[in-house]
Amino acid sequence: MTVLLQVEGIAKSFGAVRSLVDVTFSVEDHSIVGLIGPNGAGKSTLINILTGVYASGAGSVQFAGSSLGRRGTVERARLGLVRTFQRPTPILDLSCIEGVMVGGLVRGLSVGKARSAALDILTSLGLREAADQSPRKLPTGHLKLLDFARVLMLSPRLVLLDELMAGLSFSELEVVIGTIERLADGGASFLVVEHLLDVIKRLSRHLVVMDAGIIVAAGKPDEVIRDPRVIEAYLGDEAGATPAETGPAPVSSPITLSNKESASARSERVRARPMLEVNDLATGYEGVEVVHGVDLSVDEGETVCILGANGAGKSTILRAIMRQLSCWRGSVRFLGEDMTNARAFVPAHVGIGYVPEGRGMLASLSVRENLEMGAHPRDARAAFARNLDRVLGLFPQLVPRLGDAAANLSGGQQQMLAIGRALMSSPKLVLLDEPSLGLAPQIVNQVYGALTELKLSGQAILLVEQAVVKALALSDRAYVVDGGEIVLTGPSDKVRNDKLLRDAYLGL
Amino acid sequence: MRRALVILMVWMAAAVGLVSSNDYFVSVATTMAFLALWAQSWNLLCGLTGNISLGHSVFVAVAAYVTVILFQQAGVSPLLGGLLGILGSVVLAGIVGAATLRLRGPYFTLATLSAAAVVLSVILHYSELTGGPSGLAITFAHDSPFDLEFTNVRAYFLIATGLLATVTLILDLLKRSKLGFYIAAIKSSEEAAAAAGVRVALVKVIVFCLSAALTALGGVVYVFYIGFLDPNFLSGLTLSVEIALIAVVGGINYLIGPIIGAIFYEAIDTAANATFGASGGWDVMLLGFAVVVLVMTEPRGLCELAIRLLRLVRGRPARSWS
Repeated sequence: MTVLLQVEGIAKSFGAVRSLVDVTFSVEDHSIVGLIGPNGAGKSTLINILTGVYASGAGSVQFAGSSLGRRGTVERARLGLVRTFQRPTPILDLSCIEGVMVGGLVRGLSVGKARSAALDILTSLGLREAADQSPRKLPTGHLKLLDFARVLMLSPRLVLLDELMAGLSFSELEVVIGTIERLADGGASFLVVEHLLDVIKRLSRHLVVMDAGIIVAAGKPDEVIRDPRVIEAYLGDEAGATPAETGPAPVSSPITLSNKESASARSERVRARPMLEVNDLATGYEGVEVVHGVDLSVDEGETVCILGANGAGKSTILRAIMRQLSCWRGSVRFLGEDMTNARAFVPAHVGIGYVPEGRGMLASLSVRENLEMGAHPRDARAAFARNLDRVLGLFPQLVPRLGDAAANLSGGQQQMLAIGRALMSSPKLVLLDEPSLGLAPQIVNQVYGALTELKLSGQAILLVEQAVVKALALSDRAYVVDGGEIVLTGPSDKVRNDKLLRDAYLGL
Repeated sequence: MRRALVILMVWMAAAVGLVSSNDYFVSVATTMAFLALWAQSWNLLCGLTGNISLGHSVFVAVAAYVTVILFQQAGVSPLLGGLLGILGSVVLAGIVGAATLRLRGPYFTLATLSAAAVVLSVILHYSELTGGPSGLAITFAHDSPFDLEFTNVRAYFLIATGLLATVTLILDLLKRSKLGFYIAAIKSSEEAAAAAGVRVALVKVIVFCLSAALTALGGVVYVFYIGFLDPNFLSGLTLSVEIALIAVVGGINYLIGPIIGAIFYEAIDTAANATFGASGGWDVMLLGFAVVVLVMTEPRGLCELAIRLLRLVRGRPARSWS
């Protein structure tokens, strides 16, 4: 085996923050290498250096026998060193297939040849139906597949996958894994950055673990995962026992204490008032109806989750409640007041906090300023000091970072800040869209620990989530959405054991 | 189909202009055609890539001065001199573009503004050659197509609409070509385009040069139609802003947008001048008012407004007809 990528002593600092200290590793031809590490370990920085987005502070990168030096992203892409993005940026003005074609045109294919090659790739990834659509309409999971398609169109030699698989459904995951294995047999190599340990273990024969800018372990995946340093840095104590908890996970994972508490909480709120009532809600994008008549309610002090595959319409429901989308039919009532046609700022002012998918950081503002922005409603301004204490109590990790720009936080800290910002508005109800997306197992546990605390304090929560096991353990009730309709609803412990749910919608 | 429709409309306009016995009407229509031609060329860069040029008239000026000076001083036919003039504009675009199109932020727009100012001062400084601030009148010797001299001004109208149709066709072909894909990718996200292997800065410079060339082409014909080089008009801010405004008002996402924009703009301007007289500045006020109302109703321009109205009338989504 020849070495395709050789990374020697790479270092990178942003101001006083040392993101990468000294990174040395290699990727051989025809191989799949896994790279894991907690949020903030420097994985994304490493990818940005390898693709020429950042210049490294020290060290060298050799690719296919020659030094990459200061070559830019485009030159590296043309040499066959390409990446996917954690948050894909599709070419919005082109249809999905046209966006993928660009890579082929760059390689010198004619428009016709590029089109048929792009169609083959999209078909193999299960995106054939979306080929002529605008990417604006696609859910996040499909956008990630589209980004993967763009990369495959470049006939890459080495693909850096930056959390490509987080947020994909079970069947999409199988397609991607199959594609990676097929291409690796055909001569391509992959560096897979991912939090889904099951996937990493299945795909890679070599696993590299990073923490705080250095490589703490490397070797065969099974051995590396048992390394105590890795367990401490990455998996956390609890997850060390069942490392596969974030993804599609075995049903046998233990029923946690919070489930019993939720049972008692339910009996207490037998007479609880309905807080949010959604009746026959229908909405969509650009004339295409995505949600078809959904009924849903959240009572005071209740935690409710919405589950379902990518593109089922979960996020769309939240966006309609937040008045980011108009309701085409049906009604939304909050605390008895009709909000169906309210203006977009109203939900925040009547007491609904919203944590959007992708966190919605105000990137150039400091952590403290982000929190201040959350405290905009009048009640919240009066309760500013109390709310700030509450947030910093929930997320002590944010205390030393209060003065830093939100953009410089790790993914986990950003998620905590997003939740914190929602809490700063003294919300009566908090809506969370995929709070576990893209987070390391240990960080997911921290976030869910905080959510459990919130719930126990009596906070009403409406949660959209792909991490089914976590969400069901936290919530009192669950709705399962498929194709824009609610197909199943009930107490979370019943839903968890429902065979229909497990087989059809969650891939458990 | 849509392409054929647009070109048919342009030629129909030309035919109407030719048979019209009203010289005033023909002169207004000729101005419309030139403005549409420039706005269409501007749209090639600015509408398609999102890089706004506010000095586009400089390419008219460079081409016009080079062509006319060669014609007056050395007797070079404007058909050949025009090519050199266009080349001059392309070189200028290449220099400005290479220096600023790789930067993000307002640098490109500022550079186009200052390029026009620099060219204007050069013109004013070398007054023996250029006539300085008082301009230069073209001395016509004989009625010859090789010298772009036509006693019947309808010929200029015909050439202008022909060029407009050609530029429209080029734009349409470009959208379907490889370069068109690259441009769309760049407009969406430069990161995404670079990640797909597109040489972002190079593509932008090429498109800028093409846009400058087509603008210059219109400039060469225009100056022989007017018969006079006016430095403050040709390299001034007013024409540059008009070009940009017409494209935006018409709708940058539509092939026919700049054409509609030019008709709208020149019609209001002419009507205001005819009603209130040209000296009071009524045309500018009226135009400003019309643009503000339009932007508040439909910021994406007249084409989008028309589609929305169609949709209202038909009660179902209209297909876009770009």
